Amino acid sequence: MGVRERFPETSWTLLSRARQQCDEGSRAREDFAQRYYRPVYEFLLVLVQDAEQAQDLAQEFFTRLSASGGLLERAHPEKGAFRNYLQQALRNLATDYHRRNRKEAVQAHPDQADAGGWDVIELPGFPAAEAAFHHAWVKVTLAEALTRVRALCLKRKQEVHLGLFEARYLGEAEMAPTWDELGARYGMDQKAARERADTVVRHFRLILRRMLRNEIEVPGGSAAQRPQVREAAIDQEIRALLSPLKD
Amino acid sequence: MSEVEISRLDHCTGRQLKELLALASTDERTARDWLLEIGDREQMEYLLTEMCAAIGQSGGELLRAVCSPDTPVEVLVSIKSAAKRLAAAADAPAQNAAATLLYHLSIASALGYHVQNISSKDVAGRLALYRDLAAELSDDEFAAIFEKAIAGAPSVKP
Repeated sequence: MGVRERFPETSWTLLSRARQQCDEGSRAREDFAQRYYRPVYEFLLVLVQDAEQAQDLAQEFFTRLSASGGLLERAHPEKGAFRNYLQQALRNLATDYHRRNRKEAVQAHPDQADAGGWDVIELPGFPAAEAAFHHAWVKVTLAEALTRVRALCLKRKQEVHLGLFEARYLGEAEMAPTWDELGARYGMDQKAARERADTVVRHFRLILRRMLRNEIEVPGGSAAQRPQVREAAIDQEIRALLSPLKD
Repeated sequence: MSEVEISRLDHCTGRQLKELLALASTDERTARDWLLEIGDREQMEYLLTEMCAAIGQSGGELLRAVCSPDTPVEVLVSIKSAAKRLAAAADAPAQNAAATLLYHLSIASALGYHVQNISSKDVAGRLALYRDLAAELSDDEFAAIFEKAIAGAPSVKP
């Protein structure tokens, strides 16, 4: 697999296809649900604190997305990043859910019952739910990139390179192993170990940046945007993904 | 997306996720090997088109030419010369890298598809770089050209 092959379409393009009421639209809605299920589920799980309920709500969320006049039709790329749109849609779903279960909600949060009604409340769990959503979004994005990196490395017979990269960046130990330690595992010096891992880092960087470019590109936008501008926008997206993450 | 990767990331700390994300950032003050990192064909096409604007040449056409086994050697020679001029005139590292990679692709294409050395430099002197490019470029088509060049090199008369 090369870096330019079979990259997922942009979220906005997928969304646009998912609006179509035909077989292609149906497939796009399935792709859409598959791509975003995990962040959506994690968000809802934090709010409702019940796995089964969270699954039901996630299902409802994706059904509502594709319903006539539903969320899909109200999405506009010019209003900002897709994940922000998705988060807002989730907040709306959660608010509706609490409204439907007003009695339970009043019992759970009596202090907010008179603060303008459940239409306008900021549910206390939102910040934590948004953090969970963001964390899952980052993980899904990285997992997609790593899957592609793995395929590329295997195709190039770079299993050792990949092994070094994974041991250095994905190990479960609290402290990452040193290059000396990693080299020793494969019978090479630290410089050779580092160089091989750096090859995978370059694959990873290219692939992830390409994915992020797809994510932030607006359909019908300026395709001929100067590379420097595009690259700066990708760096900005990386900063936006990095900043809410906690160590 | 693989569930294996997801579950592997489930074990990662926030620090590790941040480190992975930061690897993709150009904000990091790490030295970049532009020649290896220009392997995104779309970006390379755009950079070359931008550099060739004055002569109305498209980057896509140039890349298609160097990647095709049917491109005559004379055309590869002219692309090599053009790439050399573009590299000299480049005003950014990424532009320089795009032109330099085009230069090497034209030489590698002549070596791989026509078993001819169109460079004044000895083939053996280029093989180490071409091995690196074959292994490291993320674009399959570009990497394949360098692999063919390495395979064809022993048959080239000095």
